Amino acid sequence: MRPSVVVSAGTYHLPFNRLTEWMEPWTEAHPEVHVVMQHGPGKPLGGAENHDVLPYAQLLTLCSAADAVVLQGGAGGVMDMRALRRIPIVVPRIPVDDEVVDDHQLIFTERAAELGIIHRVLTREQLWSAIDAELASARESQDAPTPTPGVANLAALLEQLPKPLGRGERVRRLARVARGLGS
Amino acid sequence: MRILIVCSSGGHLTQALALKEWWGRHERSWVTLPTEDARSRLVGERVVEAHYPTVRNLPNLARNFALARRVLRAERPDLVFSTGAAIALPFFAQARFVGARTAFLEPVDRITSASLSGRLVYPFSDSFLVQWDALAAMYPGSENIGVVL
Repeated sequence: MRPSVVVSAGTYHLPFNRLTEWMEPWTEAHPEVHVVMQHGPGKPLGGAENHDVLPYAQLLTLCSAADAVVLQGGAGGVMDMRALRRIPIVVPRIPVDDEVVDDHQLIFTERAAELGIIHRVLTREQLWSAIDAELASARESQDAPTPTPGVANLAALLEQLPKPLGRGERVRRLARVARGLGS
Repeated sequence: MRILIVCSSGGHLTQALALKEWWGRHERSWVTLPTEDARSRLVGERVVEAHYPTVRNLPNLARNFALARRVLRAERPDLVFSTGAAIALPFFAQARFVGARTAFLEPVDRITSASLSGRLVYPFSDSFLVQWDALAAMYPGSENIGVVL
């Protein structure tokens, strides 16, 4: 069976053309690999099976069976792969060429890489090496993900209704937001 | 407790779905966006679809304020909960008029910078929750619950 790579720019409303451009030389050099690309509003990938947006369940099935998975740096895709016990290769969007509004994907993927739940790549050469490494290695079965603390903490906190925010505090917060939060 | 969960589809919905241990114990309904992933992932749940797109779209923001007024009156929730994004604002701004409390959770990929929707709903959030210390420092009165992944 042909090896397969799934690439997803996510369902974000802004295009992620850099991901397509970085994948193009690799896809051209590997005609034996079946590449599936979910490109969203961005450019399709030459030589790949292209989809605007894949049905959610179908995308997960494809990712589960793929030899390598390449994603943008959003929390949703990273969480989905964690549930599938997969460690995806992740290219964070950066606030250049309207990829995304700020640098939050860069920062999130740095933390996610420290937690060992993604392979973070910041150049196209790193992307190509990471895909090559995934295809060359036998996939190891990951342990079931351990629950992260936020779920239980939120459940405990919101078991009771929160106290109402006082009017004075609401006004202070409105003023703080109007000034910009940092000040 | 009756909960109204309001969130965009995609990653915001993934964050909300990960909290099933909590919302699964309560009576609930959802407000989300009319996208394929939300429809397939919320099968069996009570769902209202909001006007879309919501990002920097003023006509849809106005429509969603009217929708929020109708839904809040019909559902009479005890708590409106959101993981973002822009769809939260119409519901948080009007929740107290039907006696509902509000709780907002900044998503896990917000670490050092506040999201636009977080800033907008902060003055209307009875409980404002974040997942990282750096963000807690930006929102006085917030609580850091740790990561949801």
